[in-house]
Amino acid sequence: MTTTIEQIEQHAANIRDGLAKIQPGESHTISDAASTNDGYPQGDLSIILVDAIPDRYKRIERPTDKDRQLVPGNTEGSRHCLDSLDGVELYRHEEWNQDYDGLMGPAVRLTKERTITHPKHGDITIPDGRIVLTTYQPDYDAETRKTRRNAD
Amino acid sequence: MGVPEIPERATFDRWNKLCPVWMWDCYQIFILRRPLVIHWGDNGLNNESGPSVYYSPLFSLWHIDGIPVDSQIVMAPETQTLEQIDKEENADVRSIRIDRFGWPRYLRESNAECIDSRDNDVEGTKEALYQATGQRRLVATCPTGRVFAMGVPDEIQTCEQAAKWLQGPVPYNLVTRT
Repeated sequence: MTTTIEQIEQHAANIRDGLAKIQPGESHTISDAASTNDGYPQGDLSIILVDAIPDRYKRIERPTDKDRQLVPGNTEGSRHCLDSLDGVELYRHEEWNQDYDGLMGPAVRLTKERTITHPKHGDITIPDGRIVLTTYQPDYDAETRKTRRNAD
Repeated sequence: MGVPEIPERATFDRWNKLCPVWMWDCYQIFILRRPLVIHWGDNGLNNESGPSVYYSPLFSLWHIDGIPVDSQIVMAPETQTLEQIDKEENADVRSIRIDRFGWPRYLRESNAECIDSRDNDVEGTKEALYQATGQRRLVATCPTGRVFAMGVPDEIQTCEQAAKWLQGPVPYNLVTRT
């Protein structure tokens, strides 16, 4: 009899071998009919449709190519990137800085269709005219480690 | 400091400047010269594929994310035993040990308690919530074909609650995951 963890590992192998319903790295295009508050996680980056730029967000007046990356860091996992800044208004949380370790990512208003790409996860294409807010998945281990460090 | 002013003192002082680290125990003093290589990460010394501070083939320091570890954890984590992991008293080191050993393998070999499981039909994935070594983990397949074991707070009781918690600060209706 297989255990639950073995079933999970077998399911992951099936995905890798193309035997499951979902395909590794399969991309997704958000429908024009999608609703506000619909969410499309790309790995640990959540992409959420919103009606307006949230409060406490400030526009980045002159975004550079570096700003196409929506998650801080230089690892492969952090390379969630807009394919272009053409037709993009970019906003960041007012507390954002180089060392920001909160969970609120950039917000984006699009006047052209844009795609968020990633080396491992499937691309997500967002139709023009939409506003999306991005957030980061909580890292419980890092939080716990930080709490222990602060207590030392 | 009571050190006599002898001619060799200046030579000794100059030599000291080349030896930034002194360590000692009851019997001996270890004087380290400057390391040849140092690897830094966001939280201090860090190297997941070799020594964080390399002095010589005979002596190096090993750190992951600023936490001192031993060479086995860095270079051959798969050779750790369950006993080594479970007897580790430092919570940070224990967490690093299991991360590098592999959570799915640890949960399988330790016969960890499965609290809840489900087929997540929306995402086409399988999930299970485990309690092991004082930590609660949501183990889930990912659309990339990998298995992740993500830490969640102790009050989480079901896979659904864990998945909601992992959504982050803004709850949403999940349509699909890539």
